[in-house]
Order: sequence, then C-alpha cells, then structure tokens
Amino acid sequence: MARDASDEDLMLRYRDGDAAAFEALYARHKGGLYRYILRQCGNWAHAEELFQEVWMSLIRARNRYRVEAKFATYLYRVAHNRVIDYYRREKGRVPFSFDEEDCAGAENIAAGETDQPERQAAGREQAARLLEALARLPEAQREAFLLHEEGGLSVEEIAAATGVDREAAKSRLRYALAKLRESLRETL
Amino acid sequence: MSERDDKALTQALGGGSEVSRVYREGARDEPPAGLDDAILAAARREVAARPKPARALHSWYLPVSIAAALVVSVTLTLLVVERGEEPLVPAVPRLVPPSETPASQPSPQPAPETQRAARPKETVPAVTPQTKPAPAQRQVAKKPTAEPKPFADEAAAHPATGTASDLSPSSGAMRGGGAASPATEAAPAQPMLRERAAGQPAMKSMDRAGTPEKDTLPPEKWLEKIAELRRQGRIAEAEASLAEFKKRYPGYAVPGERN
Repeated sequence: MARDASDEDLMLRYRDGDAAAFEALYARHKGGLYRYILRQCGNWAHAEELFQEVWMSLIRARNRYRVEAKFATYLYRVAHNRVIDYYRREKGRVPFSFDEEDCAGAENIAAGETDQPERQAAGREQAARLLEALARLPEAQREAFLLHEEGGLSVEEIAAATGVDREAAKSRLRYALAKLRESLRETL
Repeated sequence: MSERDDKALTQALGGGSEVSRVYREGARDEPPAGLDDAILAAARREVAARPKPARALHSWYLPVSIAAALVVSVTLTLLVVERGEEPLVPAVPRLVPPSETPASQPSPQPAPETQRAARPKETVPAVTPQTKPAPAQRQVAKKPTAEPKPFADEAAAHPATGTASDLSPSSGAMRGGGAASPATEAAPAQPMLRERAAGQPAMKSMDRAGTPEKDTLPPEKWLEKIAELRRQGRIAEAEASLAEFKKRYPGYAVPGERN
C-alpha cells in the first residue's frame, strides 16, 4: 500500500498518526536528500547533521503539513534553507553564486559532444571526475543540478525550492549541465 | 542560450543525458544506518506523543459537549427534586386552630379536632369565664383587627385563628366585632360563640382556637402568653386564658397568681 501511495498521501497519513507512512517516505527520499546535502557541504559530519535537521523539521511540523506543492519540492525547500544556513554559519555568508540569476559564460561551453554516442570508459573513474567537476561548480548551479538529479525536480520546482524565478533556475541548471558535460569530455 | 544547450537541458530533464547517467553511477552515498534509526525513532515518538493532529480534536467536541450537557441536566434535576421534597408550609398552621366554622365541625387542623373530640367538654367550662370576659374578649378581639393583613388573610382561611402570637383563645376572637374579619374572632369559649354564632361564626372557630393552643403549648409558654396579653392590655383575654390554664393545670403554680 505504501509503495503505491504518493509522497503527499504518505505525509498526510503520517500527519494523521501513521508512523509507518513516514518510514516509507523516508526510504524513498533519504538517499537523494543525503547526497544533495553531502555534495554541497563536502563534509560527512556536517552533511549528517544537516540531513537530520531536515527530517526533524518535517517531523515537528507534521501537524501543519498541507498539500500545497509536491512533497519533494517541500522537502528540498527545507533542505535548501538548511544549506544556506550552513553557508552562513561556516563561511560567514551566502555564496555569491546564489545571487546571480543568470549564469554568464554557459553558452561558451562546447556542447557538440552531447550528440556523441555513449563512450565506454571506466565508470567509477568517470563518475569520480564528474563529482569533482560538480564540486567545482558554483554553489547555486551545483544545487540546481542536484535538485534535478537527486530530487527529481523540474525547472519550475527548482525555482520554487530555491526561491528564484523560473528563468534563473533554468539558467543555473543549464550552466551546470554544460560544465559537467565538458568535464565528461575531458575524461573521454 | 544556444540551441544545443536547450536541447541538452531538455535531454537532461528527460533523464537521458550522459551527465545524468554518469552521475547516477557515482551517486551511491547513503546515510548511515544509525542515522536512519535515530530519525525513524524520532518520527515514532512524535506520533506517540501526539497521535492525532489538532484538527482531530474537533471530533472530541461532540462527545464532550454531550457529556457536559448530561452532567448539567442531572445536576439540575437533582436540585429540583431535592427542593420539591422540602416542606413549603411552615409550622404556623399548627398554631392555627382548625378552621372551625360553625358549619364545619371538622377542622383543617387535625390536632384541634382531636383535641375537641378528646375534650369537647373543656370548651364548656370555658363558657363560664367566657361570659365574663365576653365583652372584654370582644374588645380584646379588636386587637387582632389591628393585625396586619397577613393575619387577616390567614384568619380568613382559618377563621378560628386569633392573632398569630396569641395563645389565648380569647385573644382576637372577642374582637371579632372589630375591623378584623369575623374569621379573626375565634371565640375561645362556646358561650361567646353562642352569642355571636349568628353573625360571627368565626368566633366559634376562635373558641376552638384556644383549644389547640392549650393543648399544644406547654404550661410555661402558656403562662408567658397570658403575661403578654396582660402587657398588651388585653386583660379579659388574659383572665380567660388563665382560667383555662387553671382548669388544665389545677396544681400548677402560677406566678403572680391572680386568684
């Protein structure tokens, strides 16, 4: 039953006292959320701490939960806020990339190889390089990519989760993809 | 933005980009099991602490309201029942001689009736003294006429009644000729009743008024009433009452004997 239920239904059931519904919801999103946070913090301890804070926020606010958006959007909005708080705490400020709504220079990145067929390469090595490239991305673009890949959010949902307009979210995501594609070409 | 970028974005959003594939191969990090356990335990604790959200409390409103209404209803019912058991009529009627209208031998007051039945003759001896104080009694009876209206009303209901505080059968009874209603003039003695029976049937009842008082009051109280009559100037009544007293309690030492 829980397997077929939507995220929103599970959260509503948890709100009404069904702890098992929360367990199912947690199982669905724990990996993606964890990696989303980990890729931005770059620190296991901090990532686990933020990860727990996000879920505890949901648990404490269960009585106030209302289906106003997709559950994943709600979840990653909470996570985004925790990450921003982390930046303020650890770095003293919010990264500048979050203030840039337009990612200049993305169009300069060669994108011709996107049509190339899949290359046989050391999967782990390629992935590792990709992760390294991901870590080098500006925070805002990195987040947009992670929200898409780990949270499964659309451009509109990314915009809602991060508090920017659709074009800004689209720009960030496009920039991130372009940069990561470039890094893949380098590994090939 | 270039069309290639748009195409790449669209492809990525569709999950078909190379970047997405490679990323998914490397994205294997999972939270530690201990962290999972802690979070799930917290979720269960939250449910245990507050099993139902606030909005569910509304479902309790109806049964609580019904219970409260039942409690209030039962309480009010019990109060009404308890009050209903309380006597509404004070003991005053005891002092009121039976409504001994000449027409109605039976008195509303069982005690007086009993008394009369027991000692019907007692009223006869009272005739003698009553003859004397008849006029006085009559005069004295006027005093009750000055009684406040409540007395008059009571006397109307119980014609044999004299003054409420008057123990002497003569009190008030003889004054039936006064402003007081005839009911107030319950002649203590039959002679008085005979004299005025025609026009003052209440006198007869007044006559009997003394009987119950004589029978109900202890000697000391009776004497106190006699003394009160004297203080009020109702000498005739006092004398008549005293006579009755002596007949009732021949051996009783009367203070300030007037013999």
